[in-house]
Amino acid sequence: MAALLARLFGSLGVLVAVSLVLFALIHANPVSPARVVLGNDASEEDIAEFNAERGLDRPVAAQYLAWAGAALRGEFGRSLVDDTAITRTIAQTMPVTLELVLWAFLVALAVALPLGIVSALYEDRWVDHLARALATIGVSIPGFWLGLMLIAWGAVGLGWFPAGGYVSWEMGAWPHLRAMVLPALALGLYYVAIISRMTRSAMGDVMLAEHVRVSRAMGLGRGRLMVYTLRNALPPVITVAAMSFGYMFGWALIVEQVFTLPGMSRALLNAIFRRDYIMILDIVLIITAIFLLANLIADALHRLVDPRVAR
Amino acid sequence: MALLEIDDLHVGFPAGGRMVEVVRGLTLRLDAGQALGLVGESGSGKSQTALAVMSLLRKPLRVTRGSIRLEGQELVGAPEATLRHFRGGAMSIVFQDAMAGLNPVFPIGTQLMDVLAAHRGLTGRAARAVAVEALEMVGIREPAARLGHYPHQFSGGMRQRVLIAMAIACRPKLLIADEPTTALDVTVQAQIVELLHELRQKLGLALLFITHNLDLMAEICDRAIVLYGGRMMEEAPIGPLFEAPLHPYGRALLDCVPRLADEPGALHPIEGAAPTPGRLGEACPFAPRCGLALPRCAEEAPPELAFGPRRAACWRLVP
Amino acid sequence: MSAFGTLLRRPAGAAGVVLVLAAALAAVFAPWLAPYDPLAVDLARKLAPPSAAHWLGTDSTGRDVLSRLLWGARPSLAVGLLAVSIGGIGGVALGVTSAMARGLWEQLAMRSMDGLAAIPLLIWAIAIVGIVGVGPVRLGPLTFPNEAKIVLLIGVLYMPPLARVAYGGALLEARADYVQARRLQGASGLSIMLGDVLPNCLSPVVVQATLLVAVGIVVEASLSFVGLGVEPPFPSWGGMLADARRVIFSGEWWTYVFPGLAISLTVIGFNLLGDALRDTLDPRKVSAAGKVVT
Repeated sequence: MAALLARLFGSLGVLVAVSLVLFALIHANPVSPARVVLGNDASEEDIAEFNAERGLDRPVAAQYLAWAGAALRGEFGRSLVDDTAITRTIAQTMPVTLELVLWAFLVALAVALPLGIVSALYEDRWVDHLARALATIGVSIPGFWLGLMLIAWGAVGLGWFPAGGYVSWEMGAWPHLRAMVLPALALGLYYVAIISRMTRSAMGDVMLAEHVRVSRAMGLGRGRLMVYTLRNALPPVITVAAMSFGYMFGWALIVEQVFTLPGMSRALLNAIFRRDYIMILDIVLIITAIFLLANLIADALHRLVDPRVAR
Repeated sequence: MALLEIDDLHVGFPAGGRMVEVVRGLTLRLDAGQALGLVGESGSGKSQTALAVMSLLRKPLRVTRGSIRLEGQELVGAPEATLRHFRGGAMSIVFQDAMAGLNPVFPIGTQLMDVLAAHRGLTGRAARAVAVEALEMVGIREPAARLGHYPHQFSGGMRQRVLIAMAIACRPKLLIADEPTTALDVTVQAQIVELLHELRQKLGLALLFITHNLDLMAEICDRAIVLYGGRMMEEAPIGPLFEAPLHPYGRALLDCVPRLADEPGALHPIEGAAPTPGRLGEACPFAPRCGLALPRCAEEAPPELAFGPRRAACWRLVP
Repeated sequence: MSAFGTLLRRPAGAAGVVLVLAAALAAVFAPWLAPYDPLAVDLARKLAPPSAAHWLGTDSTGRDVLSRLLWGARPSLAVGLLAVSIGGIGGVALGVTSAMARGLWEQLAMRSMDGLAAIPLLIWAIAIVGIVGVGPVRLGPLTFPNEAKIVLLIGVLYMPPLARVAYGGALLEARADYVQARRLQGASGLSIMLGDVLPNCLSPVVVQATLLVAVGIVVEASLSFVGLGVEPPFPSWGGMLADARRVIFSGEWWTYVFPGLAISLTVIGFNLLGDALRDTLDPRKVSAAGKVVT
């Protein structure tokens, strides 16, 4: 528990540190937000007024504290460009990204775990070679290209799935899910490869362990042996899976672009091209926080399933 | 009929188009309740013999020839279901690496009761009672309370006791102990040997004790087979073997054990290095290191000769 | 036999070498290999299918796909290799000095590496480019393309895994008997570090670095795809796919199949090479300590 708390504080520390870095970067930037928003012909007075309105004329430290205090209360401030509440933008876009990641994660687990297990059980047989080849290809195909190919095949070619866009639940469960199939596959394949590789190697290690030989020597049945092996192989797999979940949010941004999903990537890229710094800051920090949280959960789960790690 | 009968056992693995044999033509008998030692240096094939009996040889090793019978039932080539029935049931084994022998993520009680469920169909309270009894028998204090403990909460010696409890939980007729004390502290070694001795008498186990330690073997076994380079050199009851070994290798081995009567600092190692499997031709494997070797020893394997209860394979003994 | 010979004898290793070599040759000799100017727009010949004149067809503004593919190898490999160089030099320096010096420096260096490792690579690459803005970087008389920011960021974020691998290897080496013997002979810490520890802990670093090149290439392509990497009209594989996204409904498959294949084959090449190197150079699997998921 103490170790977990230490990790939690470490993660909070990282979050504070990266928010400071981002803040510093924003303010070290020679192009001020006011200049970006108001354009090159804006007068000095206009700019001063813009800055005063948004508190940008205060010292950087004061701005940071004001922002951080508000962020802790869930108030992420207002867009510098169109003055909308960022919290609202995030509330609108995050569910889409979250859903995409969840589906991709489920797809990845559903394929990777059986694949890794079978691959380990039939080491060096054709299933294993196939699974390993698939894993090597899977980690090498960028998700956004896979997305394009899936659109060309499943949407343009076969017409089974929409080529992009988001269909809300209100339009019906099936149309909604159908629109998520290709994006989830495009995002998930890389993690199928990562998780199945880890499953295979963890299973392989455990199968060579002395205690498995003892279990065999004690005449345990096949089912029981399987449970014994799997339960031991679980900790590293859980760690990788939980971390994958965090990483997926990064790649989800790219996949969302391919499928023109109205998730956080649209908000982020809009913010980037409009130089909406506070919006960039907020979205990046939220995703970093999710990532850190996923790591923490990985750590906690690891402690839960492995009695050797001190609780 | 002996409890365990091994006839002309060959264990090997294919390498470069031919078989490299690590056990070559071993024959032995072990009666119920008896204790037989298998002694030899590393590479003599003693552990592979144990694994062959359990049908647990790791690929690419396999039995290439010969027969292993437990209570008359052939084990070589037997279907996996039959073997599973025997393993942990009528025959059981304790390995060297006690630290890694227990599954780290299950409480020892679960592991013990799973063995009971597999062979005696015991579950729930009945299994618990037998598990407690087994732990008690191997000298674990407060066994009921320790059932829920994980392996990392036990010391190496205690883990070996738990492993022995698992091995005897289903009352096997044959217990193989494959260097069960080698990885343990010297003080713990004696306790484990003592425990095995006790269990053997209490449960009427036949013991196949595999070791490179002659003194430990002498404490527990009635009879011993000396192995070298995968071949039997000599077999004899413990007393005669220690008093007057027939085979030059047996003699050399005994000379290696320091005696109190020796002058301080006197060690008598066997000159030369243990043989590499696969480099052995049909010759006596000990010939290159043997002070008494004849020209014939390097050409042809000696026949096994019987001398009452003793056996030996050496050209010097051929009349 | 040399490690390289062993490498080539495995089919996977040999395939990796061939793929990486092909990408490298394309990058280096693009000006001579490319049949057309990669920037030359020819609207009369736009979206032409593969033919004798244009082996891989033309894109939506009539530019030659093959020429752009060859030139596009440059930013991909540059980002991958330069980022790994930065991460490798920084990481090895930190890892090896930490393992040798121990104490406070070790704590400081390795804790800060843990902190860096907690930062997700792709989103931060997006963030940095987003905040600093898309555009060339001017440093005095020198002008670097937009990708320089990505290189720098990825390089810094590559330090933790490489530092961990170097640290693990260096710890093993520093404890080795022969190093202890050298110490007793009176060799200085510096000469032990540079002469004994460093060369002996590099193998797993090389393995890890090879695998990281692959990651860098995918990150570069992804950023170029969303318009934050190589700036159009300069050719990049990710950028070509972004252009192709617009014609995906009209069936000009050569516009999106070939650039994607180029990325995937190059990345497969580095992955195969890394795996094969691990098998030959790093039997202790020290490099697994720096396992990277992105």
